Amino acid sequence: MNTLYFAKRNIKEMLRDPLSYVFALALPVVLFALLNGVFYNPQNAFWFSVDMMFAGVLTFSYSFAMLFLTILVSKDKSSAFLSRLFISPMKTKDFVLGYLAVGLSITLGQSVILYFTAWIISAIRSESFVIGGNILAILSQIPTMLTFVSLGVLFGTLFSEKAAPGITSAIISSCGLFCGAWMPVESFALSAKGFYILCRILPFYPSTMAGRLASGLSKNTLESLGKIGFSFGEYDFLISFFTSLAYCIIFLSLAIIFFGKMKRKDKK
Amino acid sequence: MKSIEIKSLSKKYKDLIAVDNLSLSIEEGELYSLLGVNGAGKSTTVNMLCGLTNPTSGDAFLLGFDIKKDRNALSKLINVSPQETAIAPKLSVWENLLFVASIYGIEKGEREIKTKNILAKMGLEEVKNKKAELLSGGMKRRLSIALALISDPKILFLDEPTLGLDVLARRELWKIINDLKGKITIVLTTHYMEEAEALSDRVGIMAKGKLVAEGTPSSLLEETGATSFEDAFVQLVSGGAL
Repeated sequence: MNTLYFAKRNIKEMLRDPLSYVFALALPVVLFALLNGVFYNPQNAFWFSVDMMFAGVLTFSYSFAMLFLTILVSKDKSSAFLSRLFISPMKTKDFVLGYLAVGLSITLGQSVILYFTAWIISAIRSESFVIGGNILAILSQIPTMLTFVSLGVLFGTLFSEKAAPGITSAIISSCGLFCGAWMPVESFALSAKGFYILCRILPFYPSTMAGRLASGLSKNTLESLGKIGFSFGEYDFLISFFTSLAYCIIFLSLAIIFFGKMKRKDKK
Repeated sequence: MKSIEIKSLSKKYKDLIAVDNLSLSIEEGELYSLLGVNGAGKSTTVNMLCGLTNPTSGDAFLLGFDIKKDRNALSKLINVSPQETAIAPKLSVWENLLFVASIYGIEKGEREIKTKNILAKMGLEEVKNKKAELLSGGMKRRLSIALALISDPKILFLDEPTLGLDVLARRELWKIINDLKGKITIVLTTHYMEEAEALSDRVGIMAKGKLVAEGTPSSLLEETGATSFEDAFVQLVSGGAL
C-alpha cells in the first residue's frame, strides 16, 4: 500500500507542475505537427510522414519523462524529504515503484496524446495512419518507457538538483540525434559508418525500429527509403525489441541498486 | 526503562571521527538537548539513532530496540523533523499530513481525525489547503514538526527546529515543543543557547565528537561558575581557554 500512497503523491507533484505539461506533453506534439507540416513531401521526404515519424517521436518524447523524474528525485533528495521517508516504514521497493509509476503514467499519457495527434494530422492531410499497427508500436516501446523512467530515477539518485538536469539534457539531445525519428539513419551506413554503428547500438534507434516494424511498415519501404539493401537479419523486430529490453533490464537494475545504496547511505 | 541508551557509539569517516565513543542515556518523556558548535557530531548522532547511517562501533537502544537490528520495529516508534524542511512542496498542508499518516499505517478513518487534531495543535488550520511550498519559513517548520508528530512517535528527534526563524516564530515553536514535554521523549539539537536553556530538562554538550559535559542547564552553570549559559557553554567546549 505504501507504494500506492507514494505513487499518488508523485503523480500529484507531476500534475501540479506546469513544466510537466510543457515538456512531457506539449513539446512532442508540437514537434510532431511542425516537422510533418513543414517537411513532409510524398515524393522526396517520406521520412516525415505520420507513419514513419510516429515511433521515433514516441521514443524521443519518453526522454522528457526521464527529465521530469530526474528533477523530482533530485529535489526530494536535496530537500531532505527522502530522509524523512527513509526512517518511515517505507521500503526501497516502495520508493522505486512509486517513482516508476509516475514515470510510466507520463509515458503512457504521451503515447495516447501522440497517437491521437498523429491520427488527426493524418486525417487532415489525407496521409496514411496504421490504426492498429501504431497501437502495436506503442506496446513495443514499453521497454523503452521503462528505460527512460529508470534513467530518471538513476540520475536523480546519483546527481544533485543542479547537476541532474544538465546530464539529462545531454541524453535528450543524444536521443534526438540518434533515434532516427527525423532522418534516414540507414543512409549513413556507408557515408558515416561510425554514426550508423552508434545509432544501432544505443537504445534509441532500436526502439524506433521496433516501433516501425511493429506498426507494419514493410522492410521494402524501409530499405527503399534508406537506398541501401539489407539482409533479412539487419532489420528484425525481435533484434530491435530485445535490444530495447536489454537496456531496460540494465538501467532498471542500476536504478534499484543505486537508490538502495542511497537509502542505506554508508551502511556496510 | 530508559527511552534511549547509547553505549560507546562512534562514527568514523576516512580522516574524521565524527562521533567518538559517545555514551549517554535519556529517560522517557525527557527533553534532552544536544548542544555543540558546527561539526561537533550532533546531527551524525541523530542520523545514527534514526537509522540513516550505521555506527562504526558501539550500539544504542531506543525503547529497548537495537538501532542496528530492530529497524523495522523502530520505524513505527520514532520520527524526525530534519534540519532542512522536509515537506512535499506541491502537496497542500492537509495532503502532506494525510500522506505521512498513511505510510505510517494509520487507518483511513483515523487519518482525517488525527490530521485535524494536529492542524489545531500546530496552528496550521488556516493554511491547511495551501501548497506547502507557498508557506512562510515558520509555517514550513511547523508543518515539518506536525509531519513528525502525526505518527504518534514515542521518540521525536528535532534537528535544529528553529534555525533561520525570526524571534516570534521561534517563540511560537518553543511553546509547541514545551507542550510536548513529558508526553514523548524529545532529542533536540541546536546551536541556540537560549533555546537549550529554555526547553531542556537536560543538556549534553558535544565537542569534536565527544560528550564533554552533561547536566541540567542550572547544574552546568553552577559547575562552571559562569554568569550566563552561553559563557558556561564556551568554557566547557573550549576547556576554559576562552
